[in-house]
Amino acid sequence: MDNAENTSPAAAIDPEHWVDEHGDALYRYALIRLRDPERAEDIVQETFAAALKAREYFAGRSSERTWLIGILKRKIIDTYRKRWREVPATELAAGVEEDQIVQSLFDERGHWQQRYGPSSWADPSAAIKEEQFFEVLNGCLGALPGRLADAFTLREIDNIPSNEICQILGITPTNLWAMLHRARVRLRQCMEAKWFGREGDGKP
Amino acid sequence: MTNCRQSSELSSQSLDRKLSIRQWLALHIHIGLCPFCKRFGQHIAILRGFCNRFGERAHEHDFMTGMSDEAKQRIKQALKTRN
Repeated sequence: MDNAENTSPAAAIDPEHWVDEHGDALYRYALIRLRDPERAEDIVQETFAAALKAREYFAGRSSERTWLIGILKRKIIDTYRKRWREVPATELAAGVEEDQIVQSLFDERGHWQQRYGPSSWADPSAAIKEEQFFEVLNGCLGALPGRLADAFTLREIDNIPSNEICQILGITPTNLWAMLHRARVRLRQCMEAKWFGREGDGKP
Repeated sequence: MTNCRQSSELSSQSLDRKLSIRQWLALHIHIGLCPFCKRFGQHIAILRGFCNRFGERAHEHDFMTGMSDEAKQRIKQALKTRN
């Protein structure tokens, strides 16, 4: 086997080297989006296998990692597609319980409950401590119910247009907007409590 | 009159589509009067920016553990037989 120091093109596309070099990043990329460690491992393996088959098409125009992530991205979208096709319609309609939490932030007239109303955030640019910030954000994303997290991830993490998301998930725009609203309300609440909020103002 | 819940829905939707003139007006009249909803709109826009950055870069960071060594070995083995 080529050793890692060997930088000849042959070594650059050595699959063992790939796993050591890009395995962790690809795995995290998949885990952030699918939130399922087993599925993330499988999809990384599938990505490497697909890359192996297609390696003559890798022209080195982009970095190797960018190329691999491009393959992974398409596989992740396919996973979403399948995941949502397999959901029974009853479960899709079960947004009721999720709604309770959002609902509880408002009073019976639909105004913010005083104690849950958005407070002014400490300087958001303080979020430059990127690593810690990402850790907290990841925690708040992980607290979203799975369906909401899927929709939110496609829209806000991967920046995919709404109409494409509706196609991928097989839902109507009205459905998508309702889910994104709930996800944003929950995430905002969580980030205010865990990062942006001022200390001691009694927010949950 | 638009309440806070409806206004937060419009705020959220304005990040995903163009609101009708009527909706846009309803949102902005409400926001002009309601500091909570004004902040809500600002916060979800700020979070959008951070989420974007998270999507681009979070996998390069070590705050999440990477793949287990067993998984890596397994994948290497699988690739070797295919290669």
